Parts: sequence; structure tokens; C-alpha cells
Amino acid sequence: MSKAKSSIVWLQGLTCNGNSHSFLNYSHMESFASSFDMLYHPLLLGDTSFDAILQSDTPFDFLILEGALSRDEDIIRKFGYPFHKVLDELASRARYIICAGSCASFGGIFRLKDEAKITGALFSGKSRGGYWSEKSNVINIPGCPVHPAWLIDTLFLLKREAKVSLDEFLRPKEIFSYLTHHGCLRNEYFEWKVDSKQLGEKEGCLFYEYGCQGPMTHANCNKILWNGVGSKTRAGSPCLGCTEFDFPKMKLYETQTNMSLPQTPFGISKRAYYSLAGIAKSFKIERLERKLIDEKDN
Amino acid sequence: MDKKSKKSEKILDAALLLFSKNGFYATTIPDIARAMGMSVGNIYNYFSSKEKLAKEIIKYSSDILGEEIRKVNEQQASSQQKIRDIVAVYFDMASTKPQHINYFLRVYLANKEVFKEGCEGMLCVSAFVTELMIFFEDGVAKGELRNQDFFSAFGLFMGYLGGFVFLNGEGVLTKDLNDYVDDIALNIYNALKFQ
Amino acid sequence: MKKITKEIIERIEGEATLELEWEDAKIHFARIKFFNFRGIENILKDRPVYDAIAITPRVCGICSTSHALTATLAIESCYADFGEPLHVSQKAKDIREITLNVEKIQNHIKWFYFSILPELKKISNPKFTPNAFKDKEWFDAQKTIIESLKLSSIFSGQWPHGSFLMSGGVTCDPLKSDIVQAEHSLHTIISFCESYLYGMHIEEFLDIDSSLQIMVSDSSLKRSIEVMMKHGFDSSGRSYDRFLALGESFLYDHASKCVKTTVLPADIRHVAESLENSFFDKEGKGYTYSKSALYKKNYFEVGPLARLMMAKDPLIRDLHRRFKDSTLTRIVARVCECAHLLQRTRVLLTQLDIGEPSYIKPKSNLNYLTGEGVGIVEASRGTLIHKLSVKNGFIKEYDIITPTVWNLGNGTTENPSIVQKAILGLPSIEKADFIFKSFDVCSVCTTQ
Repeated sequence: MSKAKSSIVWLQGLTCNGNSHSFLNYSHMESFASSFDMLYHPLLLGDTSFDAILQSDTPFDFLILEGALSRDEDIIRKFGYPFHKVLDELASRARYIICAGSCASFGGIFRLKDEAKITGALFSGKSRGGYWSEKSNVINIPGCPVHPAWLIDTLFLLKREAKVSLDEFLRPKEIFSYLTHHGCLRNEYFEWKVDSKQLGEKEGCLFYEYGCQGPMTHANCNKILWNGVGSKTRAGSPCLGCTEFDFPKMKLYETQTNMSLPQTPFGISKRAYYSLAGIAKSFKIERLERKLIDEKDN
Repeated sequence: MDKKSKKSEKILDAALLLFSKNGFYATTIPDIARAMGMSVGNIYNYFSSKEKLAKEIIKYSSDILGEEIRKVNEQQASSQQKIRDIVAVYFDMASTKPQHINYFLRVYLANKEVFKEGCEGMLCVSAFVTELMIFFEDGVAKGELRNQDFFSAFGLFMGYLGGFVFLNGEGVLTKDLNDYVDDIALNIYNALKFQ
Repeated sequence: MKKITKEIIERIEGEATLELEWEDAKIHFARIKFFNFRGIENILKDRPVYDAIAITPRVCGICSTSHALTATLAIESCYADFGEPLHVSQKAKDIREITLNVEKIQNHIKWFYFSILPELKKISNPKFTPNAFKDKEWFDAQKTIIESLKLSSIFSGQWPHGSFLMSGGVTCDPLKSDIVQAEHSLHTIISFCESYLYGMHIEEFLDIDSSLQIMVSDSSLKRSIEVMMKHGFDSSGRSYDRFLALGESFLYDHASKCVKTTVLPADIRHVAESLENSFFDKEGKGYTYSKSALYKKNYFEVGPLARLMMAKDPLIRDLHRRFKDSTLTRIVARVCECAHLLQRTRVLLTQLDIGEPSYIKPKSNLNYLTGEGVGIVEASRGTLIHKLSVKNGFIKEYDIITPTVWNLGNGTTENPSIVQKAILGLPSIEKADFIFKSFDVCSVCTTQ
């Protein structure tokens, strides 16, 4: 794939359209449009009808999947056809299959309706083997929704023939080697184990009471931010762990503990974490107990 | 271990014996120097004050007990078996090296004013407490122990063991401490198990 | 001579199939079929109650804030049922309204520029194939949409599927400088709308009381009206002329219904869901996954036109006098509501008092929360209702009635639903398709 435009077909499974709307938030869309032809997108008017694409046998570069998948035609149909006929046909002509969002990657929320029949493309939750048991050209870009930059940056890299390293869940490492925790403005409260006393405040860490999955969730949300300005933790809400295979966990707003002990941050042993946490908790840091901005000081 | 560290450890051992036997206030640095055959001035080269020494001892004891529990944690065994092993380790220590447990009960818990700076919260007993955290968390994660507040479980476990060592020290037990391991372990397990 | 054709309606939020019965070359009846049911109500069963605030937004990517807010209100109503009415600060209420308004603003702009305008270009020139990526107007609108959602994200963290709502308030705690940033974004959105959409200042636009005044300056709206008039959309697309808005809005005083031009109070108690003609119907007559919602056993239209009829907006009342509930009136109402929302949001940002608490924690122990609750929100497409029953902090039942379910119910030849009635008697699928889209149909909401 060189200077010529790369072609995309965007196909929806069981979806809320959230990934499509997130895609529409991409802030350099003209640049994107100058390098890519969107042969079909369910929300955008284009030159070609879906049927025409389906009936042709022309190969194209990217099949973007949005939504959970199923081979059961009682569960999903598309344009009057059983969904699997449409997907199998398009997949056979696509150079890459890009799963945009957690539903296409792992099954996501809608998988919970019928875990045996509703899956992601190559995964069903954590287990390898989803809609397909094996396929070599699938890349997962999970998230509920996917961040537009995650999707489009990856498309550009693939178009340039750049090597895109993937982790064990087929996620691009440049994005998913980071944790949501990285860049969180509440990091200092995490370091010193100062819990959020209550929601709706800038102070305190959401990890101990409010279920924040930031230290276990692979995504660079707090590095690149959403819509240019925000993230869940910046809006005072816990990370819901939406880029992971087990999204959505039960009790999204309450920390799950075993004998009061939370799950430890990704790759940190319990011994290391508990001893450090116990030590940090032994101190009362006055500055971190106060409001970040105390209007009374003025 | 270098020479200085070895010497430090010997001082800790000697002081631990004296403190746990005579109490914090009744034990002086000259007493410890005498037991070590060292000059008082030389002791101060190792520990700048009696309070500093007392804080080092609690960490030293906690590390030793923590290390024993860590061995239990690293075994592939059920929570019930591990409870038995932890009780056995604790009672064995109370029998063979009673100074450690006595120090905890009679010096650390009884003289909090000495430890309030430098041993805040769990700071000086972290090694031991961390191992119990790992044990409890693991037991709940495996579905063997009931999920509850850490301190309600910790208090039941350690309060029971501490109380029993105290009874043993008072000389009121009719049997050897180690003969109680099975019953006590079963009681603790029954109280903590998942049901 | 009767015949039946099947048409796929694309580029709505999702897809729908129209099965049309033709008689004398006119549409005699239309079955609107939605597939791809996802079962969110079932997924919520037996989950902790607050999970609804995170999961219900996934009903629909384009109205995720509305769903999260409706779930939040439903849980708050459940607390009241349990004996603890929650106090929500004015600051939290204002932030909720700002984010809801912005969601509607982006929705209306997106719908108008991404769907209605290109469709009208196609209607004017059937040989023309609109292509989003070759259309400068499309990119300009997209930049404005981005700005709207940036404004939202200052409070909601992200859009779609932001997390910032909680029963008892909001979780965000904005700074004064965040408000300044939000005002800049709003300024950019208003500039676009004034330059392109309305061709005049929004204050001037909101002062209009005669539809003729829209036509004095060039604008996307004016051009769209011209095409609609030329192709008869000022007289087609009429339905029952019955409207309903059950949620709160700054536009009117209280939940109301409006029959022709008479506005009367309305109450959620008269709302009933019907599974008739859906796949959930036990008699097996079903043809769709969409449920129907009825008020006092009748179909009512919901959405911007309904809200502005309640508001007695002079412009919309003028259009209604001339064109009744035609496609033209319906489309202008949506564009008109956008101006109201922009002005209202400007006021809300100016008066936002960040000194108040964002969130006041409920006193009751969540593990004992038991009761029933209902949340109602005026979402982009109309009245959105969530009902739930909770036992000891866990969801027992969850029921969602989306706006599209109101407008797109599954009626019968004798008693067609709002949209079914609006497309009866039309001579072509092209017209039916456009009228269908004038309702801003959301299939994903319908088959949640």
C-alpha cells in the first residue's frame, strides 16, 4: 500500500454505534480522507451502495468491524442477509481486519446476552477463538468506544507498511502498553494511598473505594486524552477497564476486595504492593488531606 | 553480611532478650552493653538511642516471623493447611524463641509512646502483616475463605494466637503449647472459612 | 393491485427494513422492521444498581449521555421510594443540563448536515451521489460537532460513553478555567451555526415569529426549506398531530401533551408499552424487535417538534399553522431547537456556580436499597424513560422506553403508528425514505 489511497469497508455487528460516533470525533478528518477511501460506512453517504460492494469481488485494504459478532442468523442479520454470509465474504477480500472497539475484539457488553453465540472476532472474552478460531490478519483495537486516534493512527501505520507490534490480545503495543493510570492527575493520591473521600472532588484516588481499574487497564487514555480534553478519571469517575477482555466486570463503581485487599496493579506482586501500600498508609500527609485549591487561603 | 551488620544483629538479639524479659524502661543501654561485653559508647556507634534500638528490634522480629509465614505462603496448599502451618510456626517461635513474641506483646504493644514516631501504623511490622495480607487475599481469591474486612479476620487470627501465648506465659496451660496447634488451627479455619 | 416491496433504510442510526404494501402505486401500509436485538434490559438484571449508569449508555452511541442521565434519575427516584429523597445541587443539575444540551446540539447538527442536507441534494438531483469525504460542508460541520463534544468532555470526561454521572450529583469538579474553555467551544459552535445554519445571529433567529423571516438571508436551513417546498414535503409526512414530552425542559413548565395546538398536562402514569406485532408478542404475529409505547392507548409523536409545540415557540407555531405536522415543520423544529439549546447553554455556563458541591452522597446503605424508580429525560429524539426495581442494591427489573419506540411503533393498517401514518399514501420509496429520516430514527435505541 503506497501513495494510492487505501480502501475501507466498515461493517457493524451487534453495536450501539459508539465506535462510529467516536470515529467521527477524529480531529484531522480531511487528512484522513486524503489517504483513505471509505467505500462504505453505515452512517456516511458514499459513492457505492453496500450491495454493490458485496456483489463485487474486488479486494480492499481494511475491513473495520464494529460490534459483537455471531454466526447465528436469529441473533444478527445485515441488509436482509444472514450476517455471517456478509462477514465471511468481506473478510475473504480484506487485507486487514481491524476490530474497532471491545465488542468486535472480545464480545464486550453484548456478549453477556449469550456468551456461547456472541463473540469478538478472534476472542470470546479472554479465550482465544471467537467468530473465527484462527486468522492471521486481525488487529484488536478495543475500548468502549475505541478512541479515534487509536484506530486512525493504526490504519496510517499499516498503510505505510510500518510494523505494528501487537500484544497477546492482538492490541497495538504503542497504545496498549500504557496503563490508564499513566498520566492520571490523581497519581500522587495513589502513591500515598489517599482515598477519595467522596465523588465529585478533584482530590483522592478512586482505586480503593470506587472501583477504578486504571492501574490494571491497558490504554493511553490519560496520555492522549479524549475529545482533546478529558478522561474518565479527570471527570472524577473510575476507569471501567473498557479495553480489557473482561469488560464489563460486575460492580463497576465499587472496588472489589478480598479481605479489604484490592487487586494489585498490573504486573506488581502482591508482596511488593501490600507492603508498600501498608507503609504509605501509615503516614498522614497533611498536604494531601487538604483541598487542592483552598479558596479560604485567599 | 559484613562485620558491622553481624555485630548489629548480635546487639539486637541481646537487647531483645533483655527488653522482653525486663521491659523497656527497666532495661538500660549499660545493661545491654554489659550483656554484650561492649562499652556503652560503642553500643551508641550502632544505635543512637534506646528508642531507636527498640524500633529496630520490632522490625527485626517482624522480619523473622514474616519470613517464616512467607515460606508457608509459597507452598501449594489449601488455606486450611496454611492456617495450621502458620499457627505451628507461631507457637514454635513462642516456644523456642519466646523473646520475639514477648517483645511484641510486652514492649511494642505496651509502650506505644516509644514507637509513635518511626513506627506509625503498620510501618515496623509491615513484613509480618504483609504476609498475612497475602494469605488472606489468596484464601478469598481461591474461594476458601469468606470475604470480610481485613482487620476482622486479622484480629481473630492474631488476637487468638497472642492470647494463647499469653496464657502459656502465665503457666496456666495444662499441655505443651504445640499440642494445641490442631484444635486452634481448626477453630480459626472454621471461623474464617467460606460458607 | 397490491404488491409488497422490501427496502433497506440505511444511514440512520443503524438500519431498518421497510416492508411496503402498495395499492394503486401508493404506500398502503408499511411494516418497519428492526433486527439485531441486544437485550440490555436482561443484561442489567441482577447487576449492582450503579452498573446501570455505566451500561445503559451503551444502548446508543449518539445519545449515551441521555441514557446515563436517565438511569441516574431512575436510581435517584428509587432512593426517594426507599425513603431518602436525594438533594442534588444546582451546580450538578446545571452540569447535567449542559452536557445533555450539548449532546442534543451535536445530534441536531450531525443529523442535519450528515443526513438531511445530503439527502435533499439527492432529491434535487437524483444523479448526484453525495460523498461525505468530498464535501467541504460535511467537514465544517464535523469540526463543529467535535467542538460540541469537546465542550461536553470538559465535564463528562469523554463522549460518547462518558462517565460523570452518579445518583446524588456529578463526579466532575470543574475549575473556573474549565468553564472559560467551555465558553470558547460554545462560541465556535455558535459562530458556525450563525454563519452557515441560520445565516443570522441566534438571538435574531429566536426572535423570528414568521417562517418567512428565515428566508431573508442565505443559509443551509433556507436552502433546505426551498428544496422541501419544491418537492412537496410541506404537505407530506403528516401524522396524528399529537405530541408528548414527559421529561423536564427549560422550554416549557411541565410534562405535557399537545393535541393539535392545545397543550395539556401529561403524566407518566398513562404510559404503556405494547409488545404487539413484535417478536416478543406471544401470539407470534411479530415482525420486528421494536416495542411500541402508547399514551392513553394512543400513539404520540415525541422529539423537538413536540417540545417546541409545548413551548409554544412562535416560529414553530407559525409553521404548524401553515404546514401542520409535515416533514418541513418537523425538520425546521429540530434546527430551531438547536438555537434554543445554544442560547440556554450559554446562560448555564455563565451562571454555573462551581463553589457548590458536585455530589452529595446518599446516606442510605446501598446494600439495603430496595424500591422502584423511574427516570425521564428529554433526549435528542424525545422522551426517554428508564424504569427499574431494585432489591438490596441489585437490579431486579429494568425497562427502557426510547424516543424512537414512541415514533416508530408497530401499528396495524387500522391503527398505524406515528411514522407509519406519516408515510401512508406516498407515491415513492424515495419520499418515504426521507420522511423516515426526518424523524431522526435511531435503530440501535429501538432494539436495545
